[in-house]
Amino acid sequence: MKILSATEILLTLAVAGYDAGAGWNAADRRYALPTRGFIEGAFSSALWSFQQFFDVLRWTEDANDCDDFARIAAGFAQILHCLTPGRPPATALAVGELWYVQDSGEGHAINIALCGPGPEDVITYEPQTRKVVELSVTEKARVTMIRF
Amino acid sequence: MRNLLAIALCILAAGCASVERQGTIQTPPVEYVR
Repeated sequence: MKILSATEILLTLAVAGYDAGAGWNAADRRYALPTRGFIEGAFSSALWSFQQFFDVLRWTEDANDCDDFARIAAGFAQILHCLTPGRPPATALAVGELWYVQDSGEGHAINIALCGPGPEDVITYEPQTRKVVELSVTEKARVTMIRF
Repeated sequence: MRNLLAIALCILAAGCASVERQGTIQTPPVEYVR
């Protein structure tokens, strides 16, 4: 199973064009990588069930807005990792939160995941629609916070 | 006055009561990159 260190995670993000000057935090030492198919399939379906169960599917100003969606999705991914039988021992899951300034000028929060060891394997994920989304080059350069 | 306070506390307690939720949360195993 492919495992990346916290340093490798941050280096991969830098190569992928994310602003290295932003507040980057990787709390754990070793990270297992989810497949993109898992994120787009079973994870998205399960996240919907979680959001529905707790009645947090709907955006609510400050109480349940973008940063809350992103925080819940990242935490839920970690729960699934923790529950997975045979998960690589002593690892976190490479699904995190990302805050950035959109090209429109508004701040936004979404999720970021490493679905492979290369910069092309970095995906960004909108937890409000449960879809993979693309950031522009300028948006990647205007990241204000990344947390794994 | 005391009655009013009791009513206010009851309303607050009702508002803070936990909600019993229906449904299930899916917990699929993570598929890892190998």
